[in-house]
Amino acid sequence: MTKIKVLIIDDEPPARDIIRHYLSGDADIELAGECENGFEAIKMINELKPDLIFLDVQMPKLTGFELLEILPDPPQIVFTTAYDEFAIKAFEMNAVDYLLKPFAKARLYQAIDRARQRLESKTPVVQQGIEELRAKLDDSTEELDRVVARLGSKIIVMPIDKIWYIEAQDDYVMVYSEQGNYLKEKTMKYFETHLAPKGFIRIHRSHLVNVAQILSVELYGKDTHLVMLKCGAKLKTSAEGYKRLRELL
Amino acid sequence: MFTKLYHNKLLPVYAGAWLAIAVVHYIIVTTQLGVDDLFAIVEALVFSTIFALLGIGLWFLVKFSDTGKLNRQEMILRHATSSALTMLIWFGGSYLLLGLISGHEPGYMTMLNNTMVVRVLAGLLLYTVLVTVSYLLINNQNLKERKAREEVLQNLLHESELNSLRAQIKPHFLFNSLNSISSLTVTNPEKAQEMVINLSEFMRYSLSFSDNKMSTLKQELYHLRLYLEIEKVRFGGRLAVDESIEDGILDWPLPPMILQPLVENAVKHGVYDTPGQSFVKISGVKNNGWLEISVINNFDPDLPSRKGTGTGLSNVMKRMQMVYNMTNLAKITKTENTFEVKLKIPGNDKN
Repeated sequence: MTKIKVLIIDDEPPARDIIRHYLSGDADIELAGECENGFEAIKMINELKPDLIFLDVQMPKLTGFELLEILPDPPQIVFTTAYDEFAIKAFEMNAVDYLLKPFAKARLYQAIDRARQRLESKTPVVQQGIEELRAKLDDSTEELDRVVARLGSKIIVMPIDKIWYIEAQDDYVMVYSEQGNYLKEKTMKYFETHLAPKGFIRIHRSHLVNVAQILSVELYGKDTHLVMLKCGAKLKTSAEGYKRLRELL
Repeated sequence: MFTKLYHNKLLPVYAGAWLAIAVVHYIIVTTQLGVDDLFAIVEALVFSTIFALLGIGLWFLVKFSDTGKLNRQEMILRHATSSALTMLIWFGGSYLLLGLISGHEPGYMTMLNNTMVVRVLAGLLLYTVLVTVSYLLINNQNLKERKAREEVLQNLLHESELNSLRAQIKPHFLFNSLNSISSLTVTNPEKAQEMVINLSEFMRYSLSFSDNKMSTLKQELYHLRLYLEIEKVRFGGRLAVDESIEDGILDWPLPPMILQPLVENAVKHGVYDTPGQSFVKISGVKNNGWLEISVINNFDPDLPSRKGTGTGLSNVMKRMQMVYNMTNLAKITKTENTFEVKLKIPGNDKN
């Protein structure tokens, strides 16, 4: 058996202690490190390249979900959570496993065995799992409070009221905000459903605009209008988008 | 229950009234009509008893007829019918009975025949009085019953509202605490035991408190400390707690668990969401006959707050309003990286 490299991510020291204790003395496990928030975790995952992470959902700075969102090449993930119905639903089929705190040593090893199977089979099950998970998260109608992006080793947390607009770019979307412009591997549909209740409007196939950022709407051509934003951007509307805008304003 | 008592009280009064009417009857027939004592007593009793019995029937007629649903015409029709029927049974019955008792004594029967109109008129007057009094009494009774019912309802509503407003142990807190205990049993059994005891005491208090009984600042602080001790174990050195309470205010009465949601909020937006060091400061002072309690926490200014803000706080405010029937008892002050809630708590006369 090859050694599994493990990273523990949890903001509560006793929660890390118990996992460390459960793992200690197992020659097949290498505990590569521990961290107490999502920002640290990004750094450590990049540096240490663990095979498996134990990830708490509720943490300062970045939640476990948000961390997962910005990891380009995520390792195997076992979520550890105290009480989170959402996590239970989302991960039932997808993540390697999820552990409800407090959990027994045997239960932890069950999760490790599953991870080992996936690691050894070398089929991209994990990746598939994560994609499914992402799709599942996308489907949920939960409102967004912030959008997380990554630029190299820098993590940017954008509160949605600081986002100006979102633009479709091939397989990605570009998020334009006070903090800069960032690519996200998401669909326009995803942002439209999650941000519509927060005052965003789709004015065009390729533009989703924060209504609070609109300065004025001006006639441009026969059927098109221009939306002027406070940030200086001028965006064209489609006929349907203009109709939507008129209804709202 | 209420109706029964009411009836029991009413019945002797009713009987007494009829006795008085019988006496008046007796006086009138002896003085005005020259009837003998014996005949007068018998007829007074017969007339009064029959009317009294009919009167009980009328009471129920009034009670169970839904007056609100009838218009004026229907009311008049109903009472015309019932008064005619009452007169027929009352006078007819008395007439027949007295005929039997007197052995159809010709002089007496003539007198009865001659005074029939006057007697029926007097009977109608009695009918009117009886029905009017019944209406008044029953109305009054209904009103009282409704009032009592409304009061009960109001109390129930109040209680259930308070129940939904009061702090409840959050599952997240509970399971994370249990996880810490699970961990401590291995790394530090003594600390684990301490935490189990703290958690138990804290839970016992949260489960048992009642809004009918005021707590004291001392008791509240004790349970806040239990809670904060637990959170401190969970977050290690990341949570610092500072407490400064003025001397001589520990016995101040306040609603139980009113501070808990504030401290919970402070912890949630502080240490739950802030990497590195966080603090919660609790202070209490007496100011112009009011107790002022302030709970301050720091938070990470870089991060937009996650959802779940405000409900705990607004529940505290609603509860304060319901308990003291006063508004503006809470004040929120937010700086760039601190959040403060100040509660003003009225004292009782002792303070």
